Amino acid sequence: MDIEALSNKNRRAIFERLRSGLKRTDEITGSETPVPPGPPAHPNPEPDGDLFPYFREAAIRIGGNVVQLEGWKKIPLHVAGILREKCEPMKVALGADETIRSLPWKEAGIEVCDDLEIESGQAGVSRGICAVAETGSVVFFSGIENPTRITFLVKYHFVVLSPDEIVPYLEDVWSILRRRFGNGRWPRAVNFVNGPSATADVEAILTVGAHGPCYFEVLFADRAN
Amino acid sequence: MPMSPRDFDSRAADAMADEQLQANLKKLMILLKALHRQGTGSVTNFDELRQCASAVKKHTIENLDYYLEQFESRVIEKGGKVHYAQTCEDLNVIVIEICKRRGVKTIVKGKSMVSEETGLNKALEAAAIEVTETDMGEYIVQIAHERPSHLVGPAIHKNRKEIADLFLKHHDLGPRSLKEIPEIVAEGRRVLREKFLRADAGITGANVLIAETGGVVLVTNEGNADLCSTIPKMHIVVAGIEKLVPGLEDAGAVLRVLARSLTGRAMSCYTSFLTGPREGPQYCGPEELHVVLLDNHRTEIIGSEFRDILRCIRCSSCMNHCPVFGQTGGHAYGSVYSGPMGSVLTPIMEGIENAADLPDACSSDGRCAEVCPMMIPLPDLLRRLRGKERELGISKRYMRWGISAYMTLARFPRLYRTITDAGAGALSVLGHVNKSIPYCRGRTFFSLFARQRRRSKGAGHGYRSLKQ
Repeated sequence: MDIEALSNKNRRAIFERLRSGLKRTDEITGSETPVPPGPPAHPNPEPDGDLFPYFREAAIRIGGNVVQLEGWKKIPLHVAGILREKCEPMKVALGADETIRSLPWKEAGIEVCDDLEIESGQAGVSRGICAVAETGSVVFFSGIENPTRITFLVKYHFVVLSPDEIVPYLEDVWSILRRRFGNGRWPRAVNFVNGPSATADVEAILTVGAHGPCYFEVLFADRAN
Repeated sequence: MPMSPRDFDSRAADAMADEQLQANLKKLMILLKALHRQGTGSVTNFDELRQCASAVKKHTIENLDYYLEQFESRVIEKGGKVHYAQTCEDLNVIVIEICKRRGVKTIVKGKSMVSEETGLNKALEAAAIEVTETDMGEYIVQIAHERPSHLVGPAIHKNRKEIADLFLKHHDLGPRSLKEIPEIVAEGRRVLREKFLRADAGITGANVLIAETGGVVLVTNEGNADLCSTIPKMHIVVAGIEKLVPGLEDAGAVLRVLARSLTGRAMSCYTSFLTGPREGPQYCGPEELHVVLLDNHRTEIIGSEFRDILRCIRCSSCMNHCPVFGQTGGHAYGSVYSGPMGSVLTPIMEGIENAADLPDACSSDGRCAEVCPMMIPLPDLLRRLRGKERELGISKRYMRWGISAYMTLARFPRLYRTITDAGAGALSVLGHVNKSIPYCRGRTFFSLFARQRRRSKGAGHGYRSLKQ
């Protein structure tokens, strides 16, 4: 089956109908490039000053957990405490991110594994790019450092951020990514995560732990410590 | 029941007699309305947000040829492929051929209304490709061989006992308890996890397509679409051409009203922006990405008086607030799209003569337009469709006669009032005699209004004094 030929034929017909429906005389070129409506309005009330309480409130409202630790080195002990409390295996999946890998996991009694070795019921730790105060989201991007598999396959997901990595609005995330990757060279996936995975498909009752993590915790800690 | 938008009346009667459906539907509608109130009330400028979102979609549709070309070239630049389908059959043929070329035997699928529109699952099964729906509700209706009854609660017509029985029959997992909802959900998770890990390809829809980056945005609460697009070696996106927006900021404007209208939250659990297949050393993500864009009458709608409906983002707010849908549920509509937006889209997509009942299934209370985050004038579009039905002479005989009688009577106000007064009086008497008839006060709106005006004149204030 030559689907390329079929698709090309369809493409011509679709564009022809579109242009006649839009009453175009010719294709849009150069100076006629359409200008989208201005930047979208932000939701009110707008966060001002310290963004942490805004983010914390939004994230907790959607079933996430927000924890402040004194420094990154305290992270493994904290994760170990939660896993012990939940009676889960003392094992976490990590990406290649050195800042996370180099934390004292062994000393906390936690075995470290690769994202390709994730078993059901296991925990994972990732490094987020930023958190968004407006929505309570934590943002990740794909790559070998923080593989997307961890975000969706583990049962307990811990995400590490510095307190200065909270931005007020969705638009600020695009600015960070544009600065980091330049226009056009984007990571394959940018994931916004808001709390643990959930479904209301059985009798319209919200149940946590559908396909993604059942537990989602954002750890804010100062990198210097 | 065969799928056809004809015979709305008889299916609606069946739905209203189904006690379980009525109880579950009522529960879902109460929940979804409360979530809508919570979401839209959590900000003080929701109207401004929906004006922004609506302006973005309006602008994109007015320049769709430009943005479609931009999207196509960006996807190709990133290493993906774009295919065009004029009809539902074209889309199915293209998807099957893409799968065959890679030797795909098993597919995991995220919720996609476009694939429901084209009957993709049936076509894939006919081509000997196993396809598993992974949205919990969609999976339940798939193994029950039924159709979704609600855009966001596909299995809402079933209770936990029926779902547990279905799982016990379909999953060979030995004796176990499935009495509680978390146990049912955990079993769904366990069974579908295996499917995700073994699937050759993932198929999803798209909530938004971004021209600037060639990006596909997926919004879910379960995380299933994200797994479909992350784990298998190939990802196929099927989407309508109207899903485009110009850039990332514009996608944000749409996302700001989508989750707030549906889940009551600022954002759904997972919102993923995907561009192209995996690159370089990222050992996660598909090796191949295909985007199949569907027309299926959308280009005709652009040139018609129904263009506004293309702004629809499938949030289900209109149906969740529709008094007709609240009584009948989605199955009665006999079509993929139900509720007010479905009553506009189905007659256009499947021919007005095949779906003439749907635009009539409307109480004209205007609630759908009030809650629509895209400010689509749904009651106006439905009225235009009813006008078309009348022009074509395909509306029901009792509707034609009823409307003609009303038009005649409305030309003679005195006669109109005498007859309606008599009717209201008769209804009041009947209501006293037979308690199953809704109570009527025995006065028409006209007479109540006139009485109130007389009273307020006497008191020296009221409508007239306010006007002055």
